[in-house]
This record gives sequence, C-alpha cells and structure tokens, in this order.
Amino acid sequence: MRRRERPGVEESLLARAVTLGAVLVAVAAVGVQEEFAAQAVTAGAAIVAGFAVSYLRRRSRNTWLKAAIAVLVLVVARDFFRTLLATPYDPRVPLVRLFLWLQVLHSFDLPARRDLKYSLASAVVLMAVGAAYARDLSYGLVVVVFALAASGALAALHWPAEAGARGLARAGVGLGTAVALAGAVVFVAVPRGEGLRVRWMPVSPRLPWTGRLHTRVVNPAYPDADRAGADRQAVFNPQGYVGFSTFVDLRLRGVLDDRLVLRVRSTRPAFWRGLAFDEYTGQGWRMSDGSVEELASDQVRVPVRLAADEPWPAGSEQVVQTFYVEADQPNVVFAAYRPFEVYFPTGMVAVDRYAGLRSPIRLEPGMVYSVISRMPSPTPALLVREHGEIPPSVRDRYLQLPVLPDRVRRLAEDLTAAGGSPYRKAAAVARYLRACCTYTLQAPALPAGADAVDHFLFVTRQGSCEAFSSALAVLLRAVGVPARLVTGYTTGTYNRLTGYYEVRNSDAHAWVEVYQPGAGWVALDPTPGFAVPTTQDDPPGQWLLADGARWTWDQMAGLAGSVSQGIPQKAGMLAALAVAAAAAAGVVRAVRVRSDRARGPVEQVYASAERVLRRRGYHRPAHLTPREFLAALPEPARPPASEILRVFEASRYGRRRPTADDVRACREALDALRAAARRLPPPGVASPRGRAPAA
Amino acid sequence: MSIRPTADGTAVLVLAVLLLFVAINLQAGWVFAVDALLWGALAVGWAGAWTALRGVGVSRALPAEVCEGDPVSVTLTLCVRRGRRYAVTLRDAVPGLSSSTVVVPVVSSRPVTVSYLATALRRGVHLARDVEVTTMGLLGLVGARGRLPAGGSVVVLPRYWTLDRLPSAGPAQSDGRVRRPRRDGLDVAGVRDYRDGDSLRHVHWRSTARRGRLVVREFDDDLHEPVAVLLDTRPHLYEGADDAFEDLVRACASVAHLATRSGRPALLVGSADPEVAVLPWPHALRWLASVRPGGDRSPVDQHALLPAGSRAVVATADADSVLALARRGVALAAVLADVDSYRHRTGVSVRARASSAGVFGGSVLALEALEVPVAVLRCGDDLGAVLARWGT
Repeated sequence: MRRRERPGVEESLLARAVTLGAVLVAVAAVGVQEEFAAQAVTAGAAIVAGFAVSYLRRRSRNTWLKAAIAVLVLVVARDFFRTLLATPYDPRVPLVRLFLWLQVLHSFDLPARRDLKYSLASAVVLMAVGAAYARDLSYGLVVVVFALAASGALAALHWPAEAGARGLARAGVGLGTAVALAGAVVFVAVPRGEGLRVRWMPVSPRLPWTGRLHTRVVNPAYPDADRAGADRQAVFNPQGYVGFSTFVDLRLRGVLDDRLVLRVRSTRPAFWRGLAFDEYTGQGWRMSDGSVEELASDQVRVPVRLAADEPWPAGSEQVVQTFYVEADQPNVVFAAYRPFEVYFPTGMVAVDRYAGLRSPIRLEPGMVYSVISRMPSPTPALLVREHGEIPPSVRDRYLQLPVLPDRVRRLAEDLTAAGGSPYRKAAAVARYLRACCTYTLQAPALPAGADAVDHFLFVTRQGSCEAFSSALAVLLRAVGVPARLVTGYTTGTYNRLTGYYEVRNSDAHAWVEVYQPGAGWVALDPTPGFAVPTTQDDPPGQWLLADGARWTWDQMAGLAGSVSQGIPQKAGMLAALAVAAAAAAGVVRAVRVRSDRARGPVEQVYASAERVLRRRGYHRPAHLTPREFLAALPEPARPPASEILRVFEASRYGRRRPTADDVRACREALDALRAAARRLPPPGVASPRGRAPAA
Repeated sequence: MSIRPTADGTAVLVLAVLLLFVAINLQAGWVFAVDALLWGALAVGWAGAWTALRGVGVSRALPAEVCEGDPVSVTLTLCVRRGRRYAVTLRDAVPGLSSSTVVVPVVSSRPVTVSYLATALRRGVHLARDVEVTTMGLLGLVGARGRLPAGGSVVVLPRYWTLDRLPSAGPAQSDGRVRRPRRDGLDVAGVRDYRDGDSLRHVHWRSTARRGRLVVREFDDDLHEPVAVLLDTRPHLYEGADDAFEDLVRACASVAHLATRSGRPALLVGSADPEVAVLPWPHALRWLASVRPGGDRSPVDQHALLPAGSRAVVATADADSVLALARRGVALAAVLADVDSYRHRTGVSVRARASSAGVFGGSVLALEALEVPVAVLRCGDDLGAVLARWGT
C-alpha cells in the first residue's frame, strides 16, 4: 500500500531544534521549583525523545501513535482530576502536572509547522504556571532565556530556507532582545488591577506530627525563654526575636539580622501577628494563661474558633495570605488578625487565649501554609464611640498592672485628660510617644529593679518598638483602657517582580492592640516610623510606572531641596525641571544627529545648509524644489548653496557615490554658507540685487 | 499601508489577554512578566510590520509589446534602504496580464531581482502603477500590506489569425440589380519575392526553382486596392458585451494581417478620431490595441470617409447598418457580433439552434442575398474557425 504523505510537513531540522530548546526552557522553568524537579527532568527527557520521534515519523500518518496519545491524554486527565480532588485548595499542583505531561504527549506528534507553534504556545502556558509558583528573582533569568529561545524558534519557523541558516542566530537574538525589552516596558507600564482575587490556598504536603509543641512556644533563638523572669535575663540573639516566646524581656538590646524568614503573598498588606501578652511584670511581658485549644481537622483546612475575648470585628475585610517559610521559625503560626481559616500541613493547630496560633511542629524552611483572616476595618464613627461596655473577662485580664510609679499614672491621666473613646485615648498617647521619644535599637540598658516603662518614659526617652508599645499599653491600662502587647512581623518589603512580601528577621516587631467597645481589638503602633496597615491602604506595586514616576518625583524633590538650601523649594523644583528639559532636548538632538548620520555625508551637509538658512528665516516651502528655492535666495548665500546643491543632486539623483573631494567641497561650501548667512537680510527685505524670498 | 495581526498574532493576542486576566487575579508578579513577553512580542511584531515596507523600493521591467495570449516575463527588482526584510511577498497585477505572486526570502540594500511569467489576457495599452507588497516579518505575528509604486507599461496587441484569403465582396449595385461578380483580385499581376506571412499556396514554384529563392504570385488587387476595415466602435452596441467588441477587434487584426501579407495597405476606420488611419502592420496592430468603444459614427458614416467605390470589411454588431451599406452598392464583407450571446453567455450551447437570420432579424439573410460574405461571431466561438469559414 502506498503511504500517503501528510500535508505541510516541517522539514527544517533547525526549526525543530530551536523550538525544542524553547520548550525545554519552559520545562526547566517548572523544574526549578523543588517539588517538580524530578518530574521536569523526566518530562524533559521524554520531550527530547518525542521531538526525535516526530522528526523521524514526520511523513507518516502515525495512526497508532495518535491513538496511543489520545489514550494517554485521558490517563493524564484522570490523574489531574484525582490530584485536584486530593488537593482542592491549591489547583496549581495538578495543573503543573497536567501541562507538563500534555507537553510531553504532544511532542510525539509534531509533523507540521503548525504543530510546532502549538508546542510553543503550550510552552508559554508552562512558563506561566512556573511563574505562578516562582517566588524569587532568579525566575527572571528563566524568563529572559525563554524570550530569546521562543523568539529564536519563531524566527526559525518563519526563516526562509533560501536565506541559509547563517543569519538565523543573529536574527533570533536580535528579535529575542527586542521582545524582552518591549516586554519589560509592558511589564512596567501595565497597571495591575486587583481582579477577582482568586482564592487558592497553597499548603505543604500533609505532615504527620507526633510532638505536642503547640502547648508551649518553642523559639529556636531563645530555648530557655520560659525560665526568664525578674531574676534571670536571657542573652540577646540576633538570629531570632525574643517576642516569639512566652516572655518578652524588655531588658534585651540588640539588632536583629536581615535574614529572609518568610515570603508572604497577601491580598492586602498587614502586620503578621504572632503572639499577644497580657501580663506586664515591670521587666517584660508574659502570658498569664498558657492554655491552648486544639483545632484539628482530617484535612489541611482548619476553621479557627477564638475565645470570647476576641469578638468578631464589626467591620472587616477578608485577607488571604500564604506564608512560605524560608528560615527556621518558632512554632508560631503568623497571620493577620483576625484569623478565620487556616490551611496548615499538620491539619491541626492550637489557638491560645490571645488569638495566637501555634503549630504542633516548628516552622521549617519549605513549609507553606495559608490563612484567611477578617481584618478589622472599623468605621471612624465606631472608633470615636465613647459608650459601650467592656466585657468583664477583658477588663479582668487586660487591665492588670504591677505597682507603678505615680508619675506614670499621672502622665497617663494627663495625656488622656481630654477624654474620648478608648481608641482616641490610645491615639493621643501614641502621638505623645512618637513626639517625645526616640526610636533606637541600642537604648541604654535597664538598671536592675527599674520599671522598664518608667525608665523609658522619664529617663532615657528612647527605645525599641517593645519599649514604645509597652509604654502605650501600660499608660492605657493606667487609665482603664484594656490593651495588650502583640508581637509579630511587619508587612515586609513588597517585591514588585515576584508579587511577594519579603519578610526579614529584622522586620520582627511589637505593637499594641486596644479594646474599643463595639469594634473589638484594634491595632495601634506607637513606634515612630511604623504604622499598622489598614484595609484602606492600597497594595503596593500595582503600577510600576506610577511607582517609578513617584520615586523620580521624590528624588527630584529631594535633590531640589538639597541644592536649593535657602532658596524657596518651588524655585528648586523649577530648576530641576529645567535640567530635565535640557536633558530631554539633548536626547532629541542626539537622535537627530544620529538620523543625519544615517543619511550620508552629503545629505547631512544639505540638511545642515537648510537648517542654517531656516535659522535666518529662509524656510523652503514643500512645493519648491531645492533648485527653485536656491534661485530665490539672496546673492551672498547663492554660490555656496549652489555648490552644496550640485553635489547633493548628483549624489541623490545621479546614483553616484560622492567622492571624498565632493564631501570636502560640500563642507567648505557649508562653512561659506554659514558665513554668508550672517550677512543675509531678513526674508522679504530688499537686498541690493532684489528682494529676499519671504519665509 | 495596512497592518493586521496574522492568525498566529491573533492567537498570541488571545493568550496574552487570558494570561493578563490570570495574572491580575493571582497577583503573581512573574505571570505578569510572562504575559508582558507576549505583549512585547506583539509590540515588536507590530513595530516590525510598521517599518517593514518603509524604505523598500520596487521597480518593474516589462516587454513593451506582447500579443494577447502570449507569455510575458515580468521582472521585479527590490531593494531596501537600510536593514533587511524577510519573506516579502509581492503580488503583481498588471492590467491586461494575469496576476502572479512571488516571495522574496530576503531583501537587503543589494537589489534583488525576481521574475515571473504572466499571460497577456486582454489587448490594450496598460499602465502598471504599483505592486502589492506583504510581509509578516520573522515573528509572523503581524502582517503589513501596502502598495509600493512601480511604474511600467505594456501594449497588449490583439490576437489575430492568419487567414488564407479575404472573402469576395459583391453586393448589389446602386440600381439594386445584382452585380456581376468581380474577379476579386485573383488576376495574377506578376511575381515577387516571398515575404514573411505569405501563404505557401501562393508560391510560384516555377519562378522559385528558376531563381533559387521563394517567389510568390502577386495578385492584381494586392497591388492596388487598400483594404478598408471599418470597426464600429459605437459604445451602445456593446453594453454588457465587452467581449463582443474584443472579438471584432481580433477579427479586424486578422484582416489587417491578411492585407499586410498580401502587400496591401490596411486602412483602419474607427468611430472616433483619428477618423481614418492608413497604417503599416505594426502600427495597425497598435491602433487596434488602443482602440476603445467610443464615438457615434456608424459604418455608413465611416464608409463616407473613404474614397468612392472603396471596398470594405465591416466589423460591427449592427447588421442593419451593414445592410444599408450593401444596399448602397458598396462592395463589402462583414463580421457581425451577436452581442446577445455575449451578454447572456449562451453562445456555444445555443448556437446550434439559433440561426443567423433569427439573431439579426433577417438582416443577415438580406446580406447573403446581396452576396455580402458575413461571418457571425458568438460568445465562445472559435474566432479563427469562424473567420476561416467566412465567405465559403
């Protein structure tokens, strides 16, 4: 039986090879994620084999192969749905596997150019899936390599066979570079709307747990923090925050290192809350109640039930967060207040009396968990409401104070003398602290027996966030406002490329939660330079172009301010704008000069001659030929202009390359024209030999 | 110049929009980056398309004259002022010639020449102004199409058939009686050297043998009487039947060719200026190549421009005017075009059933009665065959 050839068979081995390269880059983009590395290697090898088979059997009908692929596609689809059902909270894992294996199967049947293009499109989807996983900047390198490879593949697919393969590499690299640069511009210029905030809850594979660490707090940096107290002081460890222990020792001084500890993807910026403390001892804060409630589930999803002291906020907004642990952490489950659902690999978390979540195991690098919180968003009217009852349990627990020096109580009364709601009182005290005290991580040591808050307020007036927050909480309690110290991490730095908040060890922080009747616990940060994010804050990095413009404006304003000391700032800004305008004019001129150069030396001289005459008011209208224009020029300009025109016409219309003598003569004529132009009368004024042409 | 995304470009656009939707909803920075690559590729493709046809120059070389139906070699030369262009497609459609498409793989500052063979489809003096140029660049995402100026002209001469003889013309004299047939120029006036186009039937073998070169008989008519060809160009006759006029022109060309072969001048008369043209063969063909329907002069008026007693061949779609001429005693032969068959494209199939008389309402019968040789052209007829049967 005669074998019938398939139409549109792609014969170019080069095009197939370059396309394979692009596809392998996309597979590598998925493979750089640790959880897919093994599958990606297998898939990559299978794809290479598939491309080879496709090439060898490109002219065959391959009926059996197609049938086998169809069956395997069904198998892959079945695997996808099974995995999807097994991990319903994060469809990315089955999606990656699905696209990876579809790519493999498709690579076995690529007879035509069209099929290779489908392969490239599928590679783009793989890249996107990998991008959804990527958390660090190294993925940018993969994107650039893919841009080069895919552009090269497209170029190879459209490369005319008659042109030979020699120029393809250069054309591919040129195209890839252009595409990457244009993509960078688009990346910066496209605003990122908030969209539908698709909720998926990435979580590590389910972990078996045997220990019961959740009954206490285990901080690897302070293993003996439980035993710290008035008589025993811990030693500062820059690798961990003392606030993630059962006792926050206010006597410690030091600077935490900048190690990356968490990557957080969140729909809103927030403080990542860890623990809260209710008992002030004079030297630190401790939890008076160490009991926890275990919240267990047969799945990774664990609904959170909080104690009665944690009322549901009157107004709130849902915040979805996913935490990627990058360094060893205490068994504290960080999350924005107020946690609502936790997706945790153990399927069990514990919640303490103060809405702090604890894990039965320590958080280790690679662990992923997600949390849905209802972030309090009280209305201003609610925050200033003075009436309302404070629950007795809250009053009993969060008004506790040791014996305080009288001056602390007097200061508290003075600062809150204006009255108002608890929140307004707290805001007044926080304002005072920000205004009168200095933030430092190297405050003088606390003398033995001294009260930390009293020493901070009346002796040193400088301290860390714990000192500021302790002062606020104590002063508020002194006037009957329930308050507690909270420790956790600040939002961190938003990485505009990855879309993750990068939280470092040095972002560990302490702040205060104040009980406002009707609104529940409201976070307040008295530390200068810090502010609790609210639901009104826009997530950063939504429009890089605007961010860049804002940054440039700030830089210019700063520059103007520094240059124009003593000069009004507006004048400085004007000067900066003038400098920017001059720079822009320089760029335009450079472009014009470059464009002149591209014309050839004689054309450049001709263009210069027209410019010289134009500056004197002699503008050549479009309807006049150069020769007609020349005839109308006044006498002094005519001979040199005539010489330039002669060479220009010979060069432009004579199809003759100008010689070096021509160019030299032309340039000399241009010099002569410049000299003559100074003697030219203004257009329209009678010259000795007639009237100059009107401009 | 028009710039449009190709099918691939549309697919990339759809994918880019989908990815943007996904990226916005996931707020995943690198998905934005991958999506931006697609938009970047489209932007580069668009910019490439925008610049693709700028700086490209095309020139066209054509033969000055060709005959209808002949193959024509058209040469296009491309060059670009700066850079390179890949896979440039040229679609050339010179009026009167068949169109063709050629692909130039690479165009650079060094001129590239490509040729293609077209067929001359329709007689006339045709001016070509531009060439349609299309390119999709190397990315193949966005295509640019534009028309680049490329002047050129070609004269497509009408097709003609080599006739053996001209049908004898013998209409009634002015008194209405049937005139005795003339000898129709069959009297041999002498011999002369063979000229290209002479029929081998006219070779005078004895003289040829004696002189050692081809010698043909020269007839009396050949020496003296020009052949007047009256082409009725009144436009209303050919409305909706352009091909009828074209066939008449071809018939005139064939008659002029026969006249030239027999050494007699062809005297061409149209309905518009110039009124009468006595032209040597090549010029006669050019005259016929450029003639268009126009004017309002009937064959009767045309014949009035000729010297008295001139014999004529009339090519028209108006049998009545030929009949009128014949009734005036003009010795003539006629080629009549049945324009209805051209209008309705019913020539060949209906021809067998439709008699000449039926088509022209008895005029043809009257002409035949007056011994006027008549050839009737219908749509789809083999013109050469019709002319060969003419007057037999």
